[in-house]
Amino acid sequence: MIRMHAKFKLVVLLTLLLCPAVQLIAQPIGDHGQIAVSSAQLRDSAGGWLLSADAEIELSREIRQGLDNGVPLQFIVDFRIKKPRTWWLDKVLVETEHRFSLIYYELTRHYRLQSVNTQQSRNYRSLLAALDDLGSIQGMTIERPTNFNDSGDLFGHISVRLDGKALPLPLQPLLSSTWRLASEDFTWSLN
Amino acid sequence: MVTKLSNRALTSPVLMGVLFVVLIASLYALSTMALRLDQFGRYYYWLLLGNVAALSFIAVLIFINGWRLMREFRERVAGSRLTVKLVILSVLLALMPVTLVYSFSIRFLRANINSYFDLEIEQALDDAIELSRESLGLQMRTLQRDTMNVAQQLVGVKESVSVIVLNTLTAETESSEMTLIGPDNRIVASTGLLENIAVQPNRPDDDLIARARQGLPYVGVDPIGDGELYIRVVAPVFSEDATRENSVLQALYPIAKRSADLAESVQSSYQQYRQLVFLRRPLMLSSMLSLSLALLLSVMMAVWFAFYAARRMMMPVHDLVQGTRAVAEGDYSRRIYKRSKNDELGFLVQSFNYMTLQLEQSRDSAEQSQQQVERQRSYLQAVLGQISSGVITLDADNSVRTSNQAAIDILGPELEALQGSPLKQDLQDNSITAQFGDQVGEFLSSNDGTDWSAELEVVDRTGRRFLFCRGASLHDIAGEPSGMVVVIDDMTTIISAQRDAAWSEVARRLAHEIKNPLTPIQLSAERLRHKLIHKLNGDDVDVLSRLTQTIENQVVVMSSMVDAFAEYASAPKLSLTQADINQLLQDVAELYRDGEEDAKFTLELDTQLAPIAVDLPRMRQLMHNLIKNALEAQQAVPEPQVKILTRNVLTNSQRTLEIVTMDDGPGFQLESLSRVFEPYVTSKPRGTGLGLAIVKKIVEEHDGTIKAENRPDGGAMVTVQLPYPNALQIRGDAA
Repeated sequence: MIRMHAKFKLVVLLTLLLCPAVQLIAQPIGDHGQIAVSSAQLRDSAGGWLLSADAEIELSREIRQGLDNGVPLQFIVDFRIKKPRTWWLDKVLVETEHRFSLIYYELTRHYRLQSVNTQQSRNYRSLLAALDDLGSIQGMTIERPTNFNDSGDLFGHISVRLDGKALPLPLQPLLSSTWRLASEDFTWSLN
Repeated sequence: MVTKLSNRALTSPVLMGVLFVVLIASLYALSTMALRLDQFGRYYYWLLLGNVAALSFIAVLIFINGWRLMREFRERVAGSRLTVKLVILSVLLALMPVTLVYSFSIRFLRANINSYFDLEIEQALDDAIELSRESLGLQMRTLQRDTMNVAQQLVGVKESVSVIVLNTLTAETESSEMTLIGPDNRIVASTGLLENIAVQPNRPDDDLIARARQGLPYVGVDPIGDGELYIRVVAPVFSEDATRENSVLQALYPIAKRSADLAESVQSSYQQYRQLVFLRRPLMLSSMLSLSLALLLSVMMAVWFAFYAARRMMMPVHDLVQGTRAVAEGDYSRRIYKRSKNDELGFLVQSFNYMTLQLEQSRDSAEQSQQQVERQRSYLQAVLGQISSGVITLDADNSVRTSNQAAIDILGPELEALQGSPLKQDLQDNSITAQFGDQVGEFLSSNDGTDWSAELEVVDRTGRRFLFCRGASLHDIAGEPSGMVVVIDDMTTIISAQRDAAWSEVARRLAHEIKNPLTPIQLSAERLRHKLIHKLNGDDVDVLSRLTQTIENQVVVMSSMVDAFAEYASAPKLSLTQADINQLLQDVAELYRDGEEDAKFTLELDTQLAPIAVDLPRMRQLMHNLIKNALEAQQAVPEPQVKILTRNVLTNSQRTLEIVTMDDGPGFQLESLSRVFEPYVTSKPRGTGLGLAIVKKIVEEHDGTIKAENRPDGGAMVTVQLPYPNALQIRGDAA
C-alpha cells in the first residue's frame, strides 16, 4: 500500500511538472496582445441605456499575422449590470453581448469592421484605425428588461474579448494562450 | 461499488468492446473535423476531452490489470508467470506493426499536407491578386486624371455655386458621387449620393483629406457599405488665395460588376489559401494529435486485449492448479468449471473433474466404512462398559490392547497405565494388577490357542478377593493366534454372600437345634440339685452345687449365644421412620461417654444431612455394635479414641448418607479382612464374633453397603453407606 502510494505521488508529481512544460512549449515567443477597458459610462435613454466605453486593444504578433492571412476575428463586448449580495454571488440583472467581426482584405488592403448585431460595417485602411474604432464604443444601445428593478447598489461590468470559439478549429485556444485575448472586468457604480 | 465496477470493466469484453467502438467513432469524427476549417468545432474539444478521459480510464484499467498481474507474479499465484509471458508477447506483437504504421502515417501526413501548399499555386494566387490590382490600377489612373480635371475646374468657383458646377461636372464623368470639402473641413457640395448607403455623402478619412490638402491626391479601391467596391479618388482643389487652405474633392466611381465579381473571387480564393498556409502547422498538429490518439487507442486496445486474452487463456490452467492444490490438501469436492468444451484444456478439466469425483466417492466410501467400524467399536465398548465382568484384550505379545471399565474397577487404575504394555511385568508394587499379571502369566506364556479358566486370589487393602478368569485365544483372518481376550469376574461378593447364606442357615439350625434341649438341661440340673442336695453331705453338697451351677451358667451362656444366632438368622420386618442420623449417633455415643472404657469420642457430623427412613431399633443396634466393636478393638490402647463422622456423598450418581467409624486400634488382620463381616471372624478375645456380621445384615436390610478397611495411619475404619430414596431429600440442595 505504501509503495502504491509512492507510485501515485510520482505520477502526480510528473503531471504537475509536465503541465507548465506544455504551457511553455505552447507559449509563442514575441509580444503579447492585450485589451484594457479604461473607462465606461451608462446613460439613460428611451427604453434602455446608451453605453459608452473606451478600450485599448492591442493584438499580438501572432494574431496580427493571422488577421493579415485572412483569419477572421470576432470580438465580444460583454456588458452586465449586477447587484451585489452578501454571502452569495452577485445577482445579474442585465446581460448583453455585442459581437464585432474584423477581417482583412488583401486585394484592397483594408480592414473591415462589422457589427454582428446591427450588420453595420466600416472599412479601415489601417489596423490601428480599425482597433481604435472598435475600442471606442459610443452609444451602444442596451435594452432595459421589463422587470428591471434599480433599487439598491448596482454595478456595471464591461469586458472586451476575442472569441476563441469563433476562430478556425486549429487555432482555438485549448492549451495555448496565444489566441486568448480578453480584458479584465471593468466595474463601476451605476448609482 | 467502485471495485465491483472496475472488476466488471476489467473482465467484461462487451463493455470494453462498446467503449472501444465509441472511441473509434469519436476519433473518426475528430479527424474529420480537424481537416475542415469552416467547421467551427463547437463539439471538437468536448470530443477531444471525452476521448482523452476515456483513454485515461482505459489506461487506469490497464494499470490496475498490470498491477494485479505483478502482484500475483510476486505472490507466485498459479499461472501468473505464464500470463505475464503471454501479455508481454502479445503487447510486443501488437506494438511492432502499430508503431511501424504510425511512423509511416506521420510521414505520409506531413507529405500530404505539405503537398497542399504548392509554391506555384501560391505564386499564381499572388499574381492573380496583383493582376487584379493592376487591372484596377489602370482604371484608377484614368479616373484620377478625370477627377483632377474636375478639381481643376472647381478652382475659383464660389461656394454658393459650387453645387451647380459640381453637378455639371459630375454628369461629364462616370462618377457615382462627388463631394467637395471646404477648407474648414465642411462638406460644401455633394452630388449623386450613392444609393442604398446613406443620406449623407461618404466622407473620406481625415488623413486622406489632410493629405489631399497638401496637394497629394489619393486613389484606391475601397469597399463602401457592404463591401461593394468603389474607386475612391481624393484630389486637392487648389485655392487661388494662398492664405486659404485648399479644398478637397472626393469622387467615387463604381467598378463594373463583372470586374468586381472577379476581384471578389480572386480575393476570396487568395484569402482561403493564405489562411490554409497560415494554419498549416496547427492543422498538421491536430491531424497528428488525432493519429496519435488513434495509435494510443490501438495500443491500449491491444494491451487490454492481451491482458484479457492471457487471463482467459490461463483461467483453466489457474483453475487446474488451484484444483490440484485443493486435492493435495484433501479437498476432493472441488470441481472446475469447464470454460472451453472442445479444446485440450477442456478435456483436461473434464478429466480432472472425473478424477476428483472418483477420489471423492472412494473417500466417502472409506469414511463410511470407517464410521461403521467406529460405530461397531463404540457399540462394543458400550456393551463392554455396561457388563459387570472385566474384559481385557491382549495382542500377540500379551500387551494390553483394550480393557473395559469393569476390568479397571476390579484390577485397579494401574491397569489403565498398562495400555500397550505387557500385562505381565516385574512390578514391584503390590497392586491387584501386578498380582493378577503374575498369576495369569503362566496361562499367557503357554498360549497354545486353547481356552483356559482359573480362580485367582488377590489381596488388597480391603482384604482378600477372589477372581474367576477365563481366557480365550483370538485368531486373525489367516487363523494365526493374534492375541487373547480375558474375562474376569469378581467372585468376592458372591462367595461372601454364599458364606452369609450358609452362616444364616447354620445360625438358624443352631438356634433351633440347641435352644430346644437347653431348657430341659437347665431344669434337669435344677432338679438334680434339688433332689440330691438333701441326701448328701459334707463336700458332696458343695460339689453338687458347683456342678449344677456350672451347668446352669453354661446353659445361660448357650442360651444367650443361641439368642444371638437367632437374631442374626432372623429377618424382621423393618418399621421405617424418618430419623435424624446425627441425633441418633449423638444419643448412642452419649451412652458410652464416661463409661468404663474411658474412651474419647470425636463426632464430626455433617449438619446438611437430611432425615432418612430407617428402622430405629435396628439402626440404634447398628451404632451400638460399631461403637462397641471400636472400643473392644482398643482394649490394649492406653488412650482409646473413637471417631465418628457423617456426610453426604455421591456414589454412582446416587446420593448416600455415609457413617464412618474409626479407631486407633491395631486394625483388621489382612488375611481376614475380607471376612470380617462373617460370624466368628474376630481377633478379639471377647465377644461372640457376631457384632459386625449383624451390622452388615442391618445395613443390607436398609439397602446400604458396608466396607471395612485399615487406615493408612493405623487403626480400623468401617464405612456404612445408606442411600437416600431420592436426591431431593438432601437438605440444602433443594433450595
